[in-house]
Amino acid sequence: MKNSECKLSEMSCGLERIRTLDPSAHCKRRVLEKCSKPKPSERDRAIHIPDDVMVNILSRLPVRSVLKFRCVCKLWHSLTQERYFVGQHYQHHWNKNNPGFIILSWIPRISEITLYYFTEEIHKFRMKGHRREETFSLSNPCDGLICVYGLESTYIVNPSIGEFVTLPEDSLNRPYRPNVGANIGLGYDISTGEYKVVRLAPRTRFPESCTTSCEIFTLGSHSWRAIGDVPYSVSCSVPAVNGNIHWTIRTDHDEDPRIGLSFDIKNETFDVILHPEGHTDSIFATVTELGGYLCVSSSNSTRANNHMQKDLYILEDYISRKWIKHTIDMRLVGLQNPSFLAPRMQPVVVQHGKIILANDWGRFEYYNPKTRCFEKPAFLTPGIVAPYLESLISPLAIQQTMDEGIPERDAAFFPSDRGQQAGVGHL
Amino acid sequence: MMSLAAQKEKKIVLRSSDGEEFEVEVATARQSKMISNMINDGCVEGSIPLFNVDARTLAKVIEYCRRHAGATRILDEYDNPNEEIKSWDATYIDVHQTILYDILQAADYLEIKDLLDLACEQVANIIRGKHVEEIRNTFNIKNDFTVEEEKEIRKQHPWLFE
Repeated sequence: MKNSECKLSEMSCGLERIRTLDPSAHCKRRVLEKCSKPKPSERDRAIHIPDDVMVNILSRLPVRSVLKFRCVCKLWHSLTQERYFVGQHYQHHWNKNNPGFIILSWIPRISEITLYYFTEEIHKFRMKGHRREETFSLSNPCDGLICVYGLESTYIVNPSIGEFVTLPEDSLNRPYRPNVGANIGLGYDISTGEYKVVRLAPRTRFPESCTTSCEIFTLGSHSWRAIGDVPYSVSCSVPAVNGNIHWTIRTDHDEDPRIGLSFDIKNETFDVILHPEGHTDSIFATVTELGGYLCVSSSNSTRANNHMQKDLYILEDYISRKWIKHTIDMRLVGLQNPSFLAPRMQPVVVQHGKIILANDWGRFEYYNPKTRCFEKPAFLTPGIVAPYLESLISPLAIQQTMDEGIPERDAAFFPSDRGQQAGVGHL
Repeated sequence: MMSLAAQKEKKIVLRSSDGEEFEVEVATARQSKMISNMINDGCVEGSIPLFNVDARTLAKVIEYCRRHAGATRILDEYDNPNEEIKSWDATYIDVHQTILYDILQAADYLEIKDLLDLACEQVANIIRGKHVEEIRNTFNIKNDFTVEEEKEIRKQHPWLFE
C-alpha cells in the first residue's frame, strides 16, 4: 500500500480530528538516518525504526496490543486513532484470512449482556449501562462492529475495543416497541464511508400479512428514516456480500422459489435471491455467509436420511447466480439427538480452511471440506453466534464526529473489494 | 530495452556497506524497487553500492529475492502466495531479533515491499505481548506523557493492564 509509506511526521497529531492521509503522499527516503549502521558491539542498544515502518508494524498487532501501546507515547496514541491507521489495521487482519466468531449471551431479568469473541484468544466484553430486557438479538457483523438489540433498545457495539453507542428509540409508524419481530442488518456504504443500520420489522402484529417496514439509521446521524415496505417476512441478517446485506426469507410453502432478500447498501434497494437449482427447501433452510460467499444451507429432509444431510449451496458467482453444492454428512458428528440437533447446526465461519458449524447451545463442530470429516467439537458458552473479526473502529468516535459536524465521508477508508477466502468457492 | 534473453543472462553486482560484492540475476535484483528503478534508468554499470546494508544482511535479503523472483510461480489460482512459499517465508524470517531488524531496515531501504511486510509481521508477533515499558526500551521511545495523562489513558481500558 502506498499509503503506509506516508511519513509519520507529516501526520496530524491532533486527537480532536480524525482525518485521512493523502493516499498519494509521497514517500521520502530517509537515507541519512540509516547511514550510521550500529556496529556489532552496539547491537544490544535500542533499535531505531523509521516512522512509516513502525506504522506498518503497529497495524499488524492484535487490537488489545494496539490499545495497550497507546500509552507508549503521544505519537503512538494519536496515530493509532487515525482513521487511516484503523482502516489499514482492519485490512491486515482481513488479509490474514482467519476470522473468528462471537457469542452473545445474557442473563434474563438481571439482563447483563456479555459478548465473547474468539479470535486467536478468547476475550469477553460485558456491556454496562444498557436497558434491561428479556431477550436480545445479534445482527450480522461489519468491520468489527455488531448490532445488539432487544425489543426496545438498539446498540452498535465494538466488543474488541469495549465500546458501544445506544441508538435512538424512535420508530416510525408503529405503535409498539420498535424491535418487536425486527431483524437488524449492518452494512458499510463504500460510496459515502457510512455505516448503515437496517431494521426490517413487521408492519402489523399479524405476521401472515408479511409486510415488513424498512428503516435505516446511519451511524452518526440522529434518527431513523423509513425507506418503504417489502412484501416478505425475514430472519437472520448475513454479513455483506457484494455490497449487499442479506436476510433469509420466511415462507410457509416449500414451493416458494424465494430464499433470500438482498439489500443494496449504497442504493438502498431490495432484491430477491431465488433458490439454487436443485435445492429442496426445508424449514431449516437459511441464508448465511461463508468466507465471503453467500451460502444457502439446508437440511435435506427426506425420510430416509432423517435430516442428517446438510446441503451447502455456495454462490460462486454473485452476478450470474452460479451456485455450487457441497453436502455434509451430519451422521459423522455423533450427535445424541441427531434429527433434532443436526438441522440446527448452522455454518458460521471458515477458519484455517475448516467450516465451523454451531448451534445456540454452544456446540461448535469443525468440518474439513477437503477430507469431509469432522474434528473434535468444542463446547462453549450458549448464545447467539455470528462470525467476527476484531477492529479498532470506534462507534463512539463516528457518532461524535458527526455531532461535531466534521464530515466523515471517506470512501477510500476501506477498499471496495473485500474479496473472498481462498478455497471456499471451490469446495 | 534489451531483449528478454539478454536480460536473463545479465547479472548485476551489488556491493555491501562493508565492501563485499554479490552477483545476482536481474530478476532477483528487480525484487527491489529501488534497484529496479536504477536498472530502468540504466545506471547499473559496474557495481551498485548499498551503503546501508552489510554483507550478512545482503546475503540474507538476496536469498529472499531469489526465492521470490518470478512471482507467477509462487501464486496460487486465487493470486495468493501458495502454501509452499508461505512456509518457506515462515522459516526464512524465523531469525534472531538483531538479524530481523537488519532485514527490516534493508527491506525498507531497498524497497522490497513483500519482505518488509513479512518482517513487520514478524516484529508484530514478537512485540504483541510485551509491556509498555519494554516497548519503550526496545524502540528507544521517550515517554512524553505526564503521570496523570498516562493514568487517564490506562483508565480507558483497565482490563488490558490487569
